[in-house]
Amino acid sequence: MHAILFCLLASTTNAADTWSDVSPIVSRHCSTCHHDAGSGPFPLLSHSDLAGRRRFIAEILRRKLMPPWLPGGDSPPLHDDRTMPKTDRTRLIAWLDAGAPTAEGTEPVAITPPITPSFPAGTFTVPLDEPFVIPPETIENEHRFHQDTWCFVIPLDNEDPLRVRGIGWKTAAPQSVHTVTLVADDRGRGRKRDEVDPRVGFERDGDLDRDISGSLGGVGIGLDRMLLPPGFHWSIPAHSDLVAEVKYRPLGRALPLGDQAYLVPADDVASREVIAVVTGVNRLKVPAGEKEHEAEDRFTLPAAFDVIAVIPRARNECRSMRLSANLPDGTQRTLLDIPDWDAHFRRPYLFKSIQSLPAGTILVSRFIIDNTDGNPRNPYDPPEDLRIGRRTGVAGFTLLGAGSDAAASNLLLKTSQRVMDRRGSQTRPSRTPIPSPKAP
Amino acid sequence: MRTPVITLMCVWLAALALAGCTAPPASLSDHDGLVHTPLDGDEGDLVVVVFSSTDCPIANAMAPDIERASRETTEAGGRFYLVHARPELTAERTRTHAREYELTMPVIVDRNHDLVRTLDATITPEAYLLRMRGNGRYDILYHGSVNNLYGSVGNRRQNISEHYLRDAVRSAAAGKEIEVSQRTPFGCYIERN
Repeated sequence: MHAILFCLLASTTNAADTWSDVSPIVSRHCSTCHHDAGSGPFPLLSHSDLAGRRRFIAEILRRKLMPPWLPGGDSPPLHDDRTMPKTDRTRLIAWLDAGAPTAEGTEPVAITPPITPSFPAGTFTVPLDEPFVIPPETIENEHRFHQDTWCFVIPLDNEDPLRVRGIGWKTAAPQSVHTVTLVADDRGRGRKRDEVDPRVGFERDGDLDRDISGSLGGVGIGLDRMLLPPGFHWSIPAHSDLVAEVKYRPLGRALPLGDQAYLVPADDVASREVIAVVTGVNRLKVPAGEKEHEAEDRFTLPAAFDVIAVIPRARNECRSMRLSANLPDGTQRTLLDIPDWDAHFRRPYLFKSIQSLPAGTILVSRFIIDNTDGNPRNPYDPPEDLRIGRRTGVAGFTLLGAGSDAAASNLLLKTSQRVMDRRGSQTRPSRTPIPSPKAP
Repeated sequence: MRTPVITLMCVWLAALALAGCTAPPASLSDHDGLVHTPLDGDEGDLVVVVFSSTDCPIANAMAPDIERASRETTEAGGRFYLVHARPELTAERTRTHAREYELTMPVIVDRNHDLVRTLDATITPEAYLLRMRGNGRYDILYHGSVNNLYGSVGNRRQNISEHYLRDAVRSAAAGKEIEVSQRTPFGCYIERN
């Protein structure tokens, strides 16, 4: 028995590991963000970068705080999965605990900083020209410490509609900006909000009436682009603005934002337009001190829906969330399971394979809210009764995908919007329906 | 086993309270070349030492609150020092860091870890509020976290709601008892020489 145990341990840890043994692990899992131009707060490229912080890094790894990747449980395979294999984690921790040794007589070789791939040919860039400065600390805003969020209008000046298969965002403050989501606005709704706010950009979230923030997708920490799979595109109406909702974390010093948005044109004329279907909870009433408040929502798909990505959203009091699909044949499928929610590390999640959901599928979204002072992310100290309602949802999932044809997509969109309107007891202008392809 | 350890610690702390701590008068230069002896001073002097790091995200996020604590300490007649513990830091780097984070207190680098060892600092940021007794002796009035921005490593609040160090400075300056004299600091470990 002991021999078996020893063999198992020996297969996962190696006390004799040196820098040259573990540097490929560091390169794979750490250096992608931890370099001079990356989102990590310090570089992790050289031996001394790690040796000088070995206990801190070991603790972060032991507690599985890094690499940041929220999905867990039985989430389906996702693109850019950052899960660190247990063997890599164990070896790196063992090496750090052993004092970060190097091979005798050799000079430790630093890891080459990663090269960010360029955007595909034909991509055009739209600069954010507003002189916004990220403040050193959280400012008390309309949502009272909800999350640090600011919005900007970026005119596109497009005479014609655009078909886009990818979006991107490069920030001048990668350590601070953690999520950017985009909405296409052809009705000047963002401009109106911008005009009434005397400051640079405007406060409030980036939801524009029925268009949820992120309805064009977005980016997250270490992810500067979102490229749709073949066969899908976003449609941006003529004379649109991009409205960008920028979520940032104050870093203790003022940081000027000099960011740029990227749009990757789609060239597949037969691709389907991506729509955003929203499901989630529109009202929350959680007394102060309640530790495991469960909030649930169900939404029945009126038509078959091919889901390519999901974007989660929730307040900081949320501890965990799960989106599942109850299929008409009685089976259940998990679409996203986040056991430990941290809004800082949220991002859009693209499925590796399209999740085809038949008509009649019930989307079940479930959230656990911890409104106690034991939840360190609770913005209120002491906790306050949480009573909040919002037409576009206070905790939810935005599913990006398409129906089998334009009629199915329009039905999905209309039903999703009707549910939101009913809950919000108000009606807003509908977005332009997706045109059916003309008969040849 | 836990009880005897706690008892021993209490005895040790009580002994410290009676006798105070004694420090070698470490002289350290700031990035402008000025020499400071943080643990030397006249009886009754209030001194704050905050261990920090130029690249610890937790310490940096608290920089504005550390600066506020510094201003309030000097307004109360005390002295305030920000101490970097990474030996390889250059004066240029700490000067740039202080400028970026708008830190106005004396910033010194404890290259040999004299202060780190004397105060037994382990984390950045980690704050010490001291009352001098004269002849290099002092009492530790408060030790620990600067504020509650972090509930633990990886768990950051949206906003600071408890300013532990500033409250301690105010109480000490007013001659009041400090309600909680020890708070667990969370941050980046100091790797000792």
